[in-house]
Amino acid sequence: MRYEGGRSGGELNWSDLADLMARVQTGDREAYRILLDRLIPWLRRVAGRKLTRIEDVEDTIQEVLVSLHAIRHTYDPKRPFQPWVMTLAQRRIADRMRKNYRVMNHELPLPADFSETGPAAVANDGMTPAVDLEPAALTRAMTCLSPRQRQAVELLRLQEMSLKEAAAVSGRTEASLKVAMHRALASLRRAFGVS
Amino acid sequence: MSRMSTDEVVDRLTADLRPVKRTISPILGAALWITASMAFIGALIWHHGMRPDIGKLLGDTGYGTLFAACVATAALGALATFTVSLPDRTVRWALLPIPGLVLWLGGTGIGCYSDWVRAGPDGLVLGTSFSCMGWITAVSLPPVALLIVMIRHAAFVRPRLALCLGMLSTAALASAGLMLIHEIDATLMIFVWHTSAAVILIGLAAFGAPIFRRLAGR
Repeated sequence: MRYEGGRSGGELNWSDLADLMARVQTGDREAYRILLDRLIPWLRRVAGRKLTRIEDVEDTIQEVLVSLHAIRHTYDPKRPFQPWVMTLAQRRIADRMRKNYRVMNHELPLPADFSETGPAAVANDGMTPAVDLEPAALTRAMTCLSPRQRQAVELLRLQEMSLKEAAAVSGRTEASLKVAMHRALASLRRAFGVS
Repeated sequence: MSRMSTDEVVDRLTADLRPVKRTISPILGAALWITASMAFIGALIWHHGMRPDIGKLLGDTGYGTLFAACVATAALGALATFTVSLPDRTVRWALLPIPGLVLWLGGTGIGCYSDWVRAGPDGLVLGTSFSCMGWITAVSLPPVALLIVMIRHAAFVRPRLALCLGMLSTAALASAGLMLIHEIDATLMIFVWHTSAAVILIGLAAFGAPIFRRLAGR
């Protein structure tokens, strides 16, 4: 689901928030709750400008709050509060974007209907016993793949290489490996009777 | 694995809230760290003994400039380290040690030129001095450990930058200390071996950011 972020709008009274933060440093829990409740919508807008998935936005907000909690002692009440919290937000957003980039390069998304155990989705409904993937069945299924598809599965899944590493080792392009991997998954699904 | 909602995170953080003591200002932090580090290096120098001609050397323009450059880089680097570790300070504070570095490199250029004028190409001898690198590396470790404790909050803000600046400052301080005890007169040797040690240590700091984050609980 795409997160529709908006403009920050500047509706927050940063002077009030600075006072709340000073009280937070003394251990005032009520002030802390008010501060966080006011910051969260603003953080959603800031994070929403750079992150598209709502899960990423919420995770990043939580990481900002944890960071704020961990280093709350570094805020100087004589200085503005907005730059202090904005830097934390920007760092956590950058961390999330880096992580998403790494995941994108290391993992391929599985289709939503791909069941966990390979055989028919009904095996995952808890009513029928799951069917284990026997090594012999998997080996047989792998022999049905083309050499290029087999190579993609071996490098990306069995040896757990990144796309970059697999491309360097195989001499193929990353796009070619992605296409081969998708086709291999489709072949394996057919081999195990998964629709 | 169930994810916590943001409301649950707020509840937990609020319940966990305790009063905190505000961190000291960057100037005070840098001053304390420099003082402690100089006391440590000073103790080592006192144990080893200063080189006998140190008074004469510090009066020499080239040597004195190099020594001043090391000290300036250490002091300004320390201030930059403590400052960039705070979220509300601009990252441009990282440029603060640059004048000291320019003085260091410029002083080295002058020193090398003086050596060449005095003794010709033989004045630019580059012997090996792994003991220099080893001394700087070993002497840097306790100050760096103290620095990591003092700026551990930087792990949430700018871990790599803070560590690199801290390592630059430490290496410059150690280099200044070494100049007081080590009887090497060739400026080129001092430059190559001291800065090599500094570059290696800064490189290690750059790669050590993930460990720093883990030590700080991130």
